[in-house]
Order: sequence, then C-alpha cells, then structure tokens
Amino acid sequence: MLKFILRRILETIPVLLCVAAMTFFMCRLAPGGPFDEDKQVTAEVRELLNKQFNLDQPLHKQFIQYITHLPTLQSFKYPNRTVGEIISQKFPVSAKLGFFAMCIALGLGVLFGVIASLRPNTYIDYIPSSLAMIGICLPTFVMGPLLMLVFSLQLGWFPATGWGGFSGDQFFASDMVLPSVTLGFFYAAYISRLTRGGMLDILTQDYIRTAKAKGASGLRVILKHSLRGGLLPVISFMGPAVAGLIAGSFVIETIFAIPGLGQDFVKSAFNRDYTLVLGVVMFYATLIILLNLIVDILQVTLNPKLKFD
Amino acid sequence: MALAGGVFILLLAGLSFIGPFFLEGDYYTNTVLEDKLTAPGGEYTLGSDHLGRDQLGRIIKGGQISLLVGLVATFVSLTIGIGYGTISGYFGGKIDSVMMRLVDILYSLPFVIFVILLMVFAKDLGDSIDEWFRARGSEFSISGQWNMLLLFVAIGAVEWLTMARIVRGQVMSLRQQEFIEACISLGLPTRRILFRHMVPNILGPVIVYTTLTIPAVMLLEAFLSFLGLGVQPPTPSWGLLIKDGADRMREAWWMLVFPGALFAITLFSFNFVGDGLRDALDPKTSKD
Repeated sequence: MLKFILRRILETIPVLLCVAAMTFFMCRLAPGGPFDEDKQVTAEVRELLNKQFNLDQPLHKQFIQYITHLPTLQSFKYPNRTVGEIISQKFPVSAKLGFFAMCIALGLGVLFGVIASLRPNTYIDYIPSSLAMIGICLPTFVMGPLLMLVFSLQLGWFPATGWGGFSGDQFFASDMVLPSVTLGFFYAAYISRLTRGGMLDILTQDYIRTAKAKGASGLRVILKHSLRGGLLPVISFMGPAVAGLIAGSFVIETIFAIPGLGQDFVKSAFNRDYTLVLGVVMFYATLIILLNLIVDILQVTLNPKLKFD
Repeated sequence: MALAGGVFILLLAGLSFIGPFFLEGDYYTNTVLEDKLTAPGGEYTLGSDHLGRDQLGRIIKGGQISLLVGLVATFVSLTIGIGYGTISGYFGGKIDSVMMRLVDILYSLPFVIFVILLMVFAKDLGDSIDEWFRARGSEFSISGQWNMLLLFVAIGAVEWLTMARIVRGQVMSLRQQEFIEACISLGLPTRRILFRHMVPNILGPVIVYTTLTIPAVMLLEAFLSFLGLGVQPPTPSWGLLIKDGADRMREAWWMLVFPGALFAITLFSFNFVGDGLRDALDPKTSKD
C-alpha cells in the first residue's frame, strides 16, 4: 500500500506541472492584460506596474518564478494580499459549503437508495426513484433560484443571500440551508440511484440469503452484510463528485452571494488576475488529485476483490 | 416514458428550428421598453423581459442555440471519443495502457476550470484572428461566430472521456471475434478494418451514450452561459435566460420559471430516451 501511495504521489508531480504550464500559458498568450480596464493608467504607470509584477521579464522566467513562489505572490487586483492569504481566507467558506452539501448528499442519497432497493418495482421504489430523476435533471442554477424564490421570497423561512449571518463565525446559520441543499440535491439524487443499483446486486447474493436464514434481523442484514458491498459504486463516485462540487460552488456562490473561493476564481479569471488564477487552479487540482487518491485507497480497503496493483 | 421524451424532443426541435420561419426576423431582439416586465397572458404569451422583449421568442431562439450547441459539441466529443477508443482498444498492449492511463489522469483533473479559463482567455482571440486576416487584405471574419465555435470545441474536448472508455471496451471484445481475425488474415489495411468493420459494430452502445451526452453538454453550456462565459447577449441561450430570470425573479417570476422548467423537461426527456434506448439496444448493461 505504501508503494502504491508513493507511486501515485510521484505520478502527480508531472501532472501538476502540466496543469500549471497549461494554465499559465493559456492566461499569458491570450490577448489582454490585468491593467487594461483601468482607463486612467498612463504609459509610465503601466511600465512601473509591469515592473512591480515582473511582467516585463521573459515568459519562461516568469513561469519559473510563478511556480516556485506561488503562495507568496501578490494578487493583481487585491493590493498587498498574497495568493496564499486569499486562498486560506476564502477556502474555508467553500469547504464548509461543500461539507454540508456532501452530508446532505450522502445522508439522503444512501437512505433513499436503500429504501428503494428493499422493495424494487413497488411504490416504495418508484417514489424515491422518480425524486432522484428530478434531482438529476434539475440543474443547480435552476434549482437555486427556484428554492430562493419559494423559501425566502415567498415563505420567508430562510435568508435569501449571505453566509453565516452578520458575524460570519458561527458554525451553522439559517442562511446556509438553501445553498447546501441546492448543491447537495443533485448528488443526493445520483447517490441514491447508485446505492439502489449496488444494493439490488448485493441483496440477491447467496450470502445475504444465508444471513437471513441464520436468523439475522432485517436491519442487521442491511447494515452489516449488504451496505459495505452495496456502497462500493457510491465510493467510486466520490472522486468525480468532489470535482463536481467544486464546479457547483462557482454557481451556488454566485447565486447566494457567498464570499467563497469559487466566486473569487471566476472573478479573478475575468480580471486577468494571473497569480490568483494560477494559485486557485493549482490548489483545486491538488485537492482533487489528493481526494481521488484517498477514494482509491478507500475502495481497495472496502472491497477485498481489488488489490493495489 | 422514453417515447414521450422522444416526442417532446422532436416537438421542441421543430418549434425551435422551424418555428422562427413563421415569426418576424427580429422576434428575439425586438425591444419595446414601455412593455418591460409584462406578466404572461395578453400580447405576450409568456410575458416579456426587462427590456420588453417577447419571452416566447427568446425561449424559441434560446432553444435553437442550446440544441445546436448540444448536438454539435456532442458530435465533436463523439468523433474524438470513437477515434481514441478504437485505436486504444484495437492495438492493446503498451499503447492501450498508456492511452488509458492518460484518460484516467484527465478524469481526475478539474475540467470545468479549464473550460472556464479557455472561455475567458480565448474570448478576444476571434478579434485577433479577424485583424490578422484584415492585415492581409482578406474579408474573412470569424469573430461573430467565434464564441459558438469556442463553445463547441471547449465542451467537445471535455466530454469525450467516457465515450473513449466505452468504445475501447467494445472494440476489445470485438477484437476477439472471428470476423475481425478473418479481416486480419485477409491482409486488409488496419484503417479499413477499424472504420469499415469495427466502428459499425459498436454503434449500438455509442448511440445510447450519445443520447446521454447531449443533455450533459447542454447542461455545461447552460452552466457557462449562467456564469456569463457562454453565448453572448443579445443572442439568448437557455442558460442565459435562466440567469436573467434569476437576477430579476423578485419582479418577474415568469422570466425564471418558464426557461428553467423547459430546460429541466428537456434534460429529463433526453435522459429518458437514453435509458429507453439502452434497454432496447443493449440488454446486457443493467440500469445503473
């Protein structure tokens, strides 16, 4: 296992370098620059700015400087803030949103999936399954505004925008409900379909019949004997799910005006904030690759048929 | 359900592509500021937007754009996926393991991020290309269509991975069959074996997966348009209409509800058709 982890981490390095190079050159070879929109900037000031941010040096030198000093580089649009500071300040908000969404997705998804799989092709199955179909087809950017329209503008149950109330340091506040539900609902739907499929495969196996025959209670059969196998498809979906949650956070944070990293990323791309763009891309890429590795390890530990190849 | 979905898609395609012939040329940009935010009913069947444009016309034009992006970008991803998967599956061995490892790595990358970056940074490239041609005395202009072209390529370049995997699996199992061996022993050129004998035999699963890719592509297009990166106004796409609606839902619920509902039903229909086709054409694969 240690060898497997080491090999995967070694494999990651060239991948991350490629990601960095692609991002950097895509940003820099495109027309336009970070100071184009500041109309008042004179030629001299621009030259000074270019010098301050090392934009006057050859590209390859800049690239090397970028990848070796990334966290301490200054952002173009937030004066006197480094990339590392911005990410460490904004990411906890996005991470919390992602965490709540994931809890909702796993909780609801597994619960509904298991319920649906117990009585396949009856109403107990049809109702959760059609709910799941709706969840899969209703995109977050339709669902978010609709939920906001109904629950905050019409019924007034939850605040429409914001994150963490006024102070922003509570662990949970009522304005976190709608964004988390919106982001988590699609994954809850998908996970419930995966769970249902996985459980249906397992419940017809001989060893489940044996467990039932020896008198294990229904709940015990489900929790102890079936779930471990039935959840395998869900575990392998976790990798893509995390990547999807990050993409979803771009939209959710825009809709609900949440001060997280996702909204910042889209803004920084528009602003040509080269350092921040590269920083956020590298951060997300590392995060996704790392989480994928964890998922792979988890998969092997849960499924005795698989081995670290 | 699959049949109902199919009928709905045909109706929608008819409405979006044939409907405009019965409407005036400026049906989706005609601005009547006095009529802004008119509720549905009366002169405006589905209401009007914040600039007094007819919502029905904009939804029709938006459907045209969204379906077009869905079809063309799916075609792009189909071409890449089939080519890549066939080569990888047919040659096997080292080539296959390298090519599939690459797909694995690409799978684990934050693709949406790249699409966003590509859409932002390549946006002005169309103007640059125009300038390049003008400098050489050519009238050739691409900037008008540049954004759509970029969408096709960017989305197509992202969505081919699963297709490549499916095709590879199919080709690998076909490779074992006698008629392919017969082809090889007859000395047919590899290209002919691949494209005359292999590709037609894998069309079943490919068609199924294609109907499932179209909604994914349309979703991505709407996602980009929602973030302001896709189709550029005043041309509408459903994602853009949903964004406009979300911005003004306090005053005008119809601007959000109609395009949103239509979009969801369309995705619904494509998924049902895909599931139905899968059950009909490919009985081996189970439903998830």
